[in-house]
Amino acid sequence: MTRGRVAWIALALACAVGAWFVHDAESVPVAGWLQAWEGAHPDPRVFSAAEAEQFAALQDTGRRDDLRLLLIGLAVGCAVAAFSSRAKSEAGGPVRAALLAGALAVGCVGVVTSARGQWQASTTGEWTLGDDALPGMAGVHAETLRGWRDRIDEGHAVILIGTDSLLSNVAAWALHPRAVYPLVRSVPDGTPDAELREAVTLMRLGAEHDVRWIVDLEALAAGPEAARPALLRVDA
Amino acid sequence: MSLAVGLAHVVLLLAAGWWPMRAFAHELAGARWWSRTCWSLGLGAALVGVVQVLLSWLGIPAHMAVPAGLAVLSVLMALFTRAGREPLPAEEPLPRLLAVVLLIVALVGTTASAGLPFRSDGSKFWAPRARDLALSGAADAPALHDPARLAHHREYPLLVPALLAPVFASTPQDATVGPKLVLAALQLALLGMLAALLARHGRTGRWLLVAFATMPMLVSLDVRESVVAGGFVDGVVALFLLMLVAVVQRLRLGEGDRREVTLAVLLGSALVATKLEGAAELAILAMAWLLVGPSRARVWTVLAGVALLALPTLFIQADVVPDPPGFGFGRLADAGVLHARLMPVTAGLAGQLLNVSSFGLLPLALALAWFAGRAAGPTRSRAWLGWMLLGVCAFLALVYLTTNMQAARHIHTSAHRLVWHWLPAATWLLAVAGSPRRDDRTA
Repeated sequence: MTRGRVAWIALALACAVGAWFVHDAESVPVAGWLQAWEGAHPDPRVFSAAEAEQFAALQDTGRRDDLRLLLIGLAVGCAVAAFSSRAKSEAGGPVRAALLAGALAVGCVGVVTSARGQWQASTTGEWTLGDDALPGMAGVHAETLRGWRDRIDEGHAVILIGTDSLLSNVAAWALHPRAVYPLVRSVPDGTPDAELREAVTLMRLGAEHDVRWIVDLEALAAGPEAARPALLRVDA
Repeated sequence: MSLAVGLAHVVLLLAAGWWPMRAFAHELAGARWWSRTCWSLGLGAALVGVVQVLLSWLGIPAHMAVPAGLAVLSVLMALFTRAGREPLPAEEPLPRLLAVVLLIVALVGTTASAGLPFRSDGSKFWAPRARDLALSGAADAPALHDPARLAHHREYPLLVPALLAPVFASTPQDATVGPKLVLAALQLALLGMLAALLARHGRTGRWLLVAFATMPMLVSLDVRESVVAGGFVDGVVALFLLMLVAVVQRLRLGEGDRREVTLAVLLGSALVATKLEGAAELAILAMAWLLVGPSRARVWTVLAGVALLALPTLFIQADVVPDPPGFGFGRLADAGVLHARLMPVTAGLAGQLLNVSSFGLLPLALALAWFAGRAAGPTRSRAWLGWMLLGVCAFLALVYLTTNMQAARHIHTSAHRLVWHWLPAATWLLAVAGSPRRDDRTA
């Protein structure tokens, strides 16, 4: 066995062991020096503690996924460079062969993950080649939103109240082409309908339309359990 | 229904680009049928998109009659005019394994793109804009002019929404598969075009093609990492940029004539009309072309033509209600901000090299090809790429140092998509630099 082959085998084993450890890790944190730097020199646009924690967790998980894929790719690539002289001659050298095989391994993981995800999404209705993508976008709220289209005329305005951006996007999608006005705030619990109507009337939001409606995103999210109606007509 | 409309729209785009491909991109498209199809689709999208934006500026809603009319015109021109230039020599077929890899990626990427609904910026920004443009021209679209209405990035160019608008208009309200199939087809055009371009550069080209085609972002369902699943338009920018770089490469080497200038003007204006970053990308490309040459005679002609053809986009942008500024250039004069951001921005951008979830091992392959290419000696193509990459790094640093968002979060949400714009063009130019022609050498 040549020295080169031994080195490639050792590298493949090291990467495989590394991938195994990373696979079991929940996350891979940022390097200590960068964390210290960011702590000492905070960005002018400061996060709240909760936002910072959420964003750090997102990045740490992403870093774990990247490192795991990299090590899997390199482990496969180094193994191919160690054992396949054909791959080396086709690719034009052991390093190229290792990268080529590693890229193929990473690509295989990507394709299988995507195909499996698409299959699962097709069983829940999120993936479809049909003409109705609303259940995939709005989930359990699809039928409610569809029902509102019959109640709200296309010339009316809709004021979306709430902080749930995902639901806000879905509601705006479902109610197109009605004029949609966002109001990014929560409705305090126990607010009477009349008070909410009056507050919106005073704001003059969408006032150039004959009729305005309020969509309360929190009430929509709560579904039938909601303490107040999710759709309210403002103007008679 | 929506799927059929989307498919019909793709066929119309392809037909609209067929004659321009034969007349203007004969050598670039080569002899392979699938490469010619990809170039036709790319050129058709650019042409139809630019015309739709012009009409939208004039107050006319985007309509299927535009691609249909241009398709008929293109077919008539192809029937009644002489074919482009000399017949091209046949090109050898792709190795079977490589063809299988490309087919699998194309299939899985297309189903991922077409089968999932719009999400994130796709759902709150690009798709609603397209639905608005099917109902009214840009001058009358309420979401662009009423500051209180729900709208995102009103100042963004409208080529892709205008391109998708007729499909939205002709399909049921809750269908997304048709419009998304159009985006998927343009993604396929990019992959096929790059495959044909790289296949002309021997082993290095084939090797880089495998590294490119195995990028997880081409098939990923994760919206952040994906170029296909959410319905973003970055793949269209990457497509126009690759085509533009291939055209300019011919002009740069003195091979092009008025046909290549026409193509460069069309593609440059399409780039500007697709995304705000497109204008900066065009400027980077032109600056590197001016610096490296050798043939610089056409640079200003191309830029003047692009400026003229991009006027509707600029007028539309000037007319919309401005969003709050996303960047504060005063930050460049603030030592405290620069000090705080320099390290996270540098680390974040360098980290894109190891963004394996998006780019697979392509960045490592490109780095290897760059260093291996040094053995082939200095070439102008390599210098051109080098200057462009320098320009891209400077642009990205500028964006993230001056952003009004938290810099690390802004990098997390967008850097991979801005890098993606350049990846196809950079991959091809590295293959070109690895097998240089005699007249491209500088020493």
